Amino acid sequence: MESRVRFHPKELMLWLYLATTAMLFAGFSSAYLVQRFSEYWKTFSIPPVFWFNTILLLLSSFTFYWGHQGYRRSNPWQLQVGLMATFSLGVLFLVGQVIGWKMLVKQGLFLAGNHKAISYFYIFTGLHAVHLVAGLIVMGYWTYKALRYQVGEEAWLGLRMAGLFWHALDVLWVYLIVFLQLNQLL
Amino acid sequence: MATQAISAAGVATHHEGHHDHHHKESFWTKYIFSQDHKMISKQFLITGFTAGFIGILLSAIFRLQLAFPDKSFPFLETILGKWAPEGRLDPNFYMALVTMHGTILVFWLLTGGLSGAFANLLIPLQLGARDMASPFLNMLSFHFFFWGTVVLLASFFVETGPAAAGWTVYPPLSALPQAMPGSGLGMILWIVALILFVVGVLMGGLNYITTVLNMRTKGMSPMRMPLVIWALFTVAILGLLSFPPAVAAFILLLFDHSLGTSFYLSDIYIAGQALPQQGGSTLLYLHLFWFLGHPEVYIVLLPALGIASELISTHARKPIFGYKIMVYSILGIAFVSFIVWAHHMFVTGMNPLLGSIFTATTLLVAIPSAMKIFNYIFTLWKGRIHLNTPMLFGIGTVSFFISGGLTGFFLGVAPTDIPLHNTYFVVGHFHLVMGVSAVFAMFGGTYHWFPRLWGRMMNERLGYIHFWLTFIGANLVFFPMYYMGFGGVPRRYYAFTEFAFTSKWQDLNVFITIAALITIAAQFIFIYNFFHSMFYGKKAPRNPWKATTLEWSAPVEHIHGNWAGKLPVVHRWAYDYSKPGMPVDFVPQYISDEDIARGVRWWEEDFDPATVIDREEPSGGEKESVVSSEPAPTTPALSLNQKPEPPSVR
Repeated sequence: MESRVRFHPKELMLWLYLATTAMLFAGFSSAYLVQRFSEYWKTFSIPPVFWFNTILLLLSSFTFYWGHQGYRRSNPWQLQVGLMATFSLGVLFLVGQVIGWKMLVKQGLFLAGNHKAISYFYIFTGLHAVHLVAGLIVMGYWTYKALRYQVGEEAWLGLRMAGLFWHALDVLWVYLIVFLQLNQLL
Repeated sequence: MATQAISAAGVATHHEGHHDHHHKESFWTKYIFSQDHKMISKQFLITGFTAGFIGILLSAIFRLQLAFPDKSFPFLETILGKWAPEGRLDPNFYMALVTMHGTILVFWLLTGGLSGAFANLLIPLQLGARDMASPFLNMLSFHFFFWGTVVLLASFFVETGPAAAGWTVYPPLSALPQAMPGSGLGMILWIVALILFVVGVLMGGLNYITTVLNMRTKGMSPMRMPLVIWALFTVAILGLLSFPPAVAAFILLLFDHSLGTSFYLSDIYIAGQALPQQGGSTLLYLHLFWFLGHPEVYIVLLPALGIASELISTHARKPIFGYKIMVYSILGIAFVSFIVWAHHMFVTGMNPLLGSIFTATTLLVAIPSAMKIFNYIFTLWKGRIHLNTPMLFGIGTVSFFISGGLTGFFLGVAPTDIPLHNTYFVVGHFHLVMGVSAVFAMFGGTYHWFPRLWGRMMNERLGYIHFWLTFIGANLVFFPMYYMGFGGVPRRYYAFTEFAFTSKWQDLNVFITIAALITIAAQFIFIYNFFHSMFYGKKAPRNPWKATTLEWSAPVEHIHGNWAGKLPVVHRWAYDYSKPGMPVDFVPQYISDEDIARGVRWWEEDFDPATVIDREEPSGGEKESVVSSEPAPTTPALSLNQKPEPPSVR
């Protein structure tokens, strides 16, 4: 019997962790879908800034990919620029989220109360933001290391895992925004 | 190809790498922040048992109340203060006791304690790995578990008392601080404790799965793994998929409780006052909770049955009957456990069609369960049964699984569940089938692997007394509950003297309480035996039970890395007991046919398995499975991994 596992154990662990996160959001999503059809359900319009943020986050995945290419080609400059861009886009995304939440608050849409669509919206986006902060810490760590030229050969696993986590946050966000938007429209 | 090099280098460097384990270990790094899986296993075992004993002591208090609702026990006031004014238990505190008893035993003892202790001990040792895939995460896993315990127990010391809405904490009772004292700060602490607990369990689970997939030693193909490993592996996957939705449920509950949302709340009046929350649904909570809640039953039970497999096979000196069927049954039970959760909710007014679908899926569970029981009985059949303490507890596990499991039919079928719902029938059922059954496996596992953990034997005579008192006691406590349940006695009532149809069971309640107190007292024998044997027990030989699995090939004294030299190579499955043509009735997994031909005498007291294990050519003859990598922190061999490309493992 051959072992066919193609992952480094740590990377497999990260995939499994992502599975738990997926199940967490699946739990919330199913709760959302169940309550959507209650008579008290109201819709609201999602401020466009959240879609702008989506573009930022998608872009950050590309910058990470580009930077990681630099690492593979042993080009420290490309790695540095790529990581810095990723980190900055991540921060901008968070700032954008805060602006979006403020716009909602201005419209009188609060977490508390009987307006469940908005309560869920805050929970979904808030939990994603918490995960993104964790992603930013990781990204910040690698950016710092890259700027000090401390990313050597042994960093391949850490960088791969950082990238996997970052892309997963990206995918999660795209899922969330599409899910939330469709539920407001349909 | 690359991996051959890695594993070869890994083994080679361990010779040097692991002889520098003499580095000074302080109290903190050895006992508190240990990253050694054996120490973490001990931490889980002791924390789990401690929580468990607190949990059963709580039951002693509420059993007293149920038996003698009109009597005053002044000592209760001494212990509980304002919760037992004039020696009579406060009704709110009664609810808190029931809630905390359930929470502690289901989650802390039987989920965290059981899996945490035995997965940590057995997965690396039985699979021939130096440690878990990530020892650091493993340490964190215990610390989250531990701090969850602290937060949960801290709720006994808050002004309004601990959570009191039942271990399932259904809203709206749990979601409204004004509903009852226990729904105040105690409820927040309960949720925080549970979230810490789940994080700990999931960290452990990630490790268990990765270790089983990636770190098996050479020759340890999946179908050569001991069944307990299969069970622990499957359970880790179950936890991974079912705990997060429950966390979602708890987070929404916390928001309803403290931040003014209304996910679960609608149309509620308290003291004539209408609450503003509208449009929420309690049913939503039930669905999310039981989506965890039912797999949780198997998260408890499968490791217990896995342990029973090892105990029964080893001590009956027979290979486990129907190994493959056992593996498929474990996987089958795990799969079906995800599609049965609504059988906890038959009385919620669900569509009868849906009810019958869940009835059908529930009855499906009986098929793999019955196959497992059949296999246990046939393993015992004509075996050379050694009725020592671990074996007794192993048989006890199966016995309670049968007697508790059969009543599951009544509760799994909607028409009979509806009258029995929330009666003592349910209490009797789940205590026997998952409570006592799993606790017995945990005791059995402790007696069996105690020599592996502490290098000493537990006292057999005390073990017998502990077993028989607990076995008879548990039956006397929980069997009468079936009758009470048929009589319609509801659970969670503070006193049965209020109604004619419940007060006629009063004598039986006194009987149950006396049986329960004796059974609880018997557990002190175990505590004494446990701690006394830890320091003064008879020194254990390396393989006291003459077992075949790899954990007994490692030295008795604990080495970080488990084996001083090379890792053992596996040549056979885990159950070569009483194999025809062999000189003795067991052949360990690391003994090859050449070793037997060579005349290796593995059964002798002074036989050192290292003489066989270290002789093995690491990259020779067998082109079987290869460990993908050694645990990272200690292995300089990882420098071979330092390429931009990951090691491709064939």
